[in-house]
Amino acid sequence: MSIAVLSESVINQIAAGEVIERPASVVKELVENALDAGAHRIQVAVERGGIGLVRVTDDGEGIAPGEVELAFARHATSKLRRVEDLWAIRTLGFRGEALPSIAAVARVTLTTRQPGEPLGRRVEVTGGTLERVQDWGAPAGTTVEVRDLFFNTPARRKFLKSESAEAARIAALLTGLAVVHPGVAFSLVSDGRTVLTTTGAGDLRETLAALLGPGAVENLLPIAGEGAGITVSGYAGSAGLTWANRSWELFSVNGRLVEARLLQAATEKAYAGLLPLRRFPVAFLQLTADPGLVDVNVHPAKREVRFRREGELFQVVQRAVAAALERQPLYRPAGPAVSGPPAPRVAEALLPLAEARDGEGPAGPGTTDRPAPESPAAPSRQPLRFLGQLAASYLVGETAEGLVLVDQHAAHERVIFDTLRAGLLAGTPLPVQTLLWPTQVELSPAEAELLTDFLPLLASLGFAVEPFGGRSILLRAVPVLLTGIDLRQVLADLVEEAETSPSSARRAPTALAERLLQRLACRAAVKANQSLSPEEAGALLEQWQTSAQPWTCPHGRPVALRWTLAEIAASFLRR
Amino acid sequence: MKFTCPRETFLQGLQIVQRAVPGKTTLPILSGILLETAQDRLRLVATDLELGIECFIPVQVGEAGSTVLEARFLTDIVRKLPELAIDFRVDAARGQVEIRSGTARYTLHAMAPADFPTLPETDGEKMWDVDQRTLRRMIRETSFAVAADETRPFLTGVLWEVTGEQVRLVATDTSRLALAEVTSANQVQQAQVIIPTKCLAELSRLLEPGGETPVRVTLSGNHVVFSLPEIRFISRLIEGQFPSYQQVIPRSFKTKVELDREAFLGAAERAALLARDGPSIVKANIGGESVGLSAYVPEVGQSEERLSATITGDDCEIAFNTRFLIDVLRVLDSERVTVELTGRHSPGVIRPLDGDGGQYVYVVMPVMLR
Ligand SMILES: Nc1ncnc2c1ncn2[C@@H]1O[C@H](COP(=O)(O)OP(=O)(O)OP(=O)(O)O)[C@@H](O)[C@H]1O
Ligand SMILES: [Mg+2]
Repeated sequence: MSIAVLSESVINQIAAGEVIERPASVVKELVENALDAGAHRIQVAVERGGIGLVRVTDDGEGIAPGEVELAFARHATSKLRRVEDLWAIRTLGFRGEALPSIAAVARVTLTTRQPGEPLGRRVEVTGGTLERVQDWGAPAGTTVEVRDLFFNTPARRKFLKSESAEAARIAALLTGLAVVHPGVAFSLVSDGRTVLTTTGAGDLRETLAALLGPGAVENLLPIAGEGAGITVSGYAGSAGLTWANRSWELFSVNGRLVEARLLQAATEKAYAGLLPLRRFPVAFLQLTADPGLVDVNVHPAKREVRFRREGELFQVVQRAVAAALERQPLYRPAGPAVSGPPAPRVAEALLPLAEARDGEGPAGPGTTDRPAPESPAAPSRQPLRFLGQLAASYLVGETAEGLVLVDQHAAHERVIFDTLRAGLLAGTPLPVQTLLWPTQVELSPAEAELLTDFLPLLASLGFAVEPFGGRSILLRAVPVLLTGIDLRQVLADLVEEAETSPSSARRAPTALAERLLQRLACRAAVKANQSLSPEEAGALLEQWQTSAQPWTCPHGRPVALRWTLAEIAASFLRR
Repeated sequence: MKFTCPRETFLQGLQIVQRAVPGKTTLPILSGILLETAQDRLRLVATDLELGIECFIPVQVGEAGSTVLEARFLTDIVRKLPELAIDFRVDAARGQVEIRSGTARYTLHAMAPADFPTLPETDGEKMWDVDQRTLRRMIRETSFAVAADETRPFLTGVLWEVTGEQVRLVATDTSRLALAEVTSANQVQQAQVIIPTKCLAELSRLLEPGGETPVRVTLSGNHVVFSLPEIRFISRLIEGQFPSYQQVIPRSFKTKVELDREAFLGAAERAALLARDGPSIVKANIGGESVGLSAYVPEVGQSEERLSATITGDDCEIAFNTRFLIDVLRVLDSERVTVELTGRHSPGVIRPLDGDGGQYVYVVMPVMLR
C-alpha cells in the first residue's frame, strides 16, 4: 500500500479509542467538563448501560454561542494556553480532546446557554461530522446527549461488557466523583431508576451518608496525615465495614478523582489482617500536593497519576490510615439486633461490578456493623471487668460504657497469631518443647505436597519436622505455644483453603506466612464450648487487650461487641 | 414399687451415682437415675454410656419394682427434705412418683425403666485388689499428665499395666510422662489397658485417703470394673496402642539435685505469674549449693530466685515449661524431691524422696531457648 495522510475522521476515531473506552469514559469526560464549568448541579441519565444514551446536564457557565463549534475541534480548549500551565493545572480538562473524541464515535447533541445570553445554541455532530447548528432556547448551562456509542466502530462495541456491568461502572464512577465533589449536587438515573443523589451541601460526611447509607457513616474514622510533601485527609471505614470489591477505595489528588495502585496498596496494607478474606475496605483519601509533585498527564483518560517520592508517599498513606484505624472502638458496637441500615440503591447498582472485575464473591455492602444510635466517640480501649462466661463460648464483661461480649476463640486466635508473627518478624525463635517420642504424622498426597511450601516457615517457628519415608513425617519438637497442636489438621486446613482461593495470591511469601499463622492460631486457640476459669478468662482478656490489632481475629472476624447502657436502657423502654 | 429409707442414706447413694450423669445429652433417659429394688436393697444406676456407676443402699421394700427419675430434680428435692424417713411410691399407671417425708409431698414424672441402658455384663476375667489409699494416690500422681487433644485418644487415658508383681499407672502427653507403681504379691495376671481419665477422676473422689478396704479391679472384655462394697464403677476402655514408655525413662544422669518440694513449687508458681503472653518457661541454673530459677519472659522481664539444694554431679542449665513442673510438685506429698538431669537437651526426671511407699517417676522434656 502506498503512503497517504489519514483523513481527519480516521484520525479522530483512532484518537477517540484512547480517551473513550467505554460508556463510563463518556460520563467521566462530560461530568468533568461540567465541573470545570463551575456547575453546582449535575444530572446524569443513562440508558442501556450508557450504550444507548448518556446525557449530562449542568448549570455551569455554558459556552459562548460563537465558540460552540470550536468545542468539537481537536485540541481546542479554554483551559490551557501555554506549556508551563501544564504543571499548574487546576481544571480537570486541559487537552481539548474529549468532545471531539466522543463525537467521533457517537451521535452527539450539545445544547448550551450562557447565563448572560438571551438565547442558547444547539449543535449536532454524528460520527465526527457536524450535522447542524441552531439557536436554541434553553436553561442556563449545558446539556450533552450522547447516543449510540460506537455505532460506527463495531469492533469497539464488542469489547464492552454486559449493559448491567457497564451501568455498574458508571455508578461506581459517579460515586467517586460525588465523594470528591461534595459541593456539587449529583444525580444518576439509569434506565429511569434513580441510582444516586447527593445534596451538594458541601459536607463530606453527609455525602458519604447519602451514598453508603447513614449507618455506615458511624463506622467511618477521620484520616489525617502529612509527609513527603503531601497532606492526607478523608475517612477510613472501620474493620466492620467492608465491600466485596475495590469500588469503595476512592482517592483524590488535588481534587481530581484518580486511580492509583500505590494508594490502593498502601491503604490495604494498613488493613492487613483486619478484613475477612476477599472483602475490601471502604476508604476515601484526599491528597493535597504541590502540583509539581504529581503528574496527571500520564494516561490518555487521565485516570492514573504518577507521584514523585513514591516510597515515602506509601509510608505516609499507610501510616495515616493505620492511625485512623487505631481509633476504632475496641468493642465493636453491636446495636439493637432488629434493624440494619437499608442497603442504599447505589450498592445494588454496583452489584454487577463484582462479576465484571473480580469474578467472585457476593458484592454489596457488608456492614456487619450495626449503627450505634449515637456516634462512637467513646474512648476506644476502656478497661474491661470480667463478669462471666456465656455458653462456654463468650466472655461477658462490663466497661464504664456498657456490656461487652468477647468471642473467646477469636480473642485467643489474635493473641497467638500476634505472638507467632512477632517471633517470625523479629527473628527471635520461640521457645520449643521437645518431645519424649517423635510423633509420626501420616499425610495425604495433597498435604504432603503443600508441606514442602511451608517447611522453611515451620522450621523457623520451631517445629522440628523430618521426612519419614513415603508421606509420613516425624515431629520431634513443637513451639511451646503450640504444644498439643495437630499439625496434620493444620495442613488439611491449608489444603482446603488452597482449593478455594486463587493460586496467584497464594504463593507470595508473606501470604504463605500469614496463612500458616492464621491456621496455627486457629487450631491452637481455645474453642467455643470450652469453659474457662475466671483466671484463664482474665488472663486471656488482658493479653488480647494489649494486641496491636485487637479488633478482629486473624481472619477478619470481629472479636468484641458492645452494647451501651443507653442502648440497653432503650431496649427496656426506660426512656 | 414402694420403699422407705432414711433421707441420709438415699442422698448419699444419689450423690455417688450422679457423677455418671452426663452434663449434656441428646438421649433424655441418660439424664435420669434408675432406681430398682433388689431384695432388701435399692439399686441406683446412672450412666453416660461410657462410664456407669451403680450403688446399693439398704431400704425397706414395700413393693418390688423400678423407675427412672430426672437426676437433678431428685437430688435437689432429697437434699431439701428434713432428716426423716422418705416414703417412695410409684404410680406406674400415671407414670408418676410420689415422695413423702413428714408433711412434705412431691410428685415427679417418671421415665420408663425399660428405656434405661443396661450396664454391660462383666464376668471377671482378670482381677486385682489394690487398697483405696494407694489407688487414690496413684491416680492423683498420674492422671494430670494425660493429653488433652482428641486426635490421639489413647493418650487421653491412663495406662493400667500389670507385669509380674508390679501394678502400674502411666500417663503421658508426649512432652512429659508420669508413672506410679506398687508391688503387691499375688498379682500374677498380666494386663495392659487404657482407662478413661474421667472414670479414674470420679472414682478417686470416692476413695478414702486412709481407706484400707481394697478396691477390686476387674477386666472384662473392653470394660474395666472398680468394685467397692456396695459400689461399682464400670467404664469402657480406650482402644489403641499406648507408646512403649520404658525406653524414654532415663537410666542414668549427670546431675542430681535434691531440694524442698514446697519451696520448689512456690518458686515455680511465682515464675509462672510473670508470664502474661502464653505459656511460662522457667530456666534452672544448677551449680554450687543452689538452684537458680528464672522466668524467661521476653518483653515482660525477669524473675530470679535461688533455692538451696544438695547437688551432686555436673553443673547444668536447662529450661522447662513451668506448668509441667507445677503440675507434678502439686500432686506429690513428699517433703523433698530429687531432680535428675543429663544436660539441657535430655529429659529430666523428678522423683519424690521419702514418699509413702511405691515407686514414682516423672519424666519431662526440656524447652529449647534458641
Ligand atoms: N459543560 C460545559 N460547560 C462549559 N463549557 C464546556 C462544557 N463542556 C465543554 N466545554 C468547553 O469545551 C471545551 C472542549 O471540551 P473538551 O472536554 O473537549 O476539552 P477540555 O475539557 O478542554 O480538555 P480535555 O480533553 O482534557 O477534557 C472546553 O475547554 C470548554 O471550554
Ligand atoms: Mg474536558
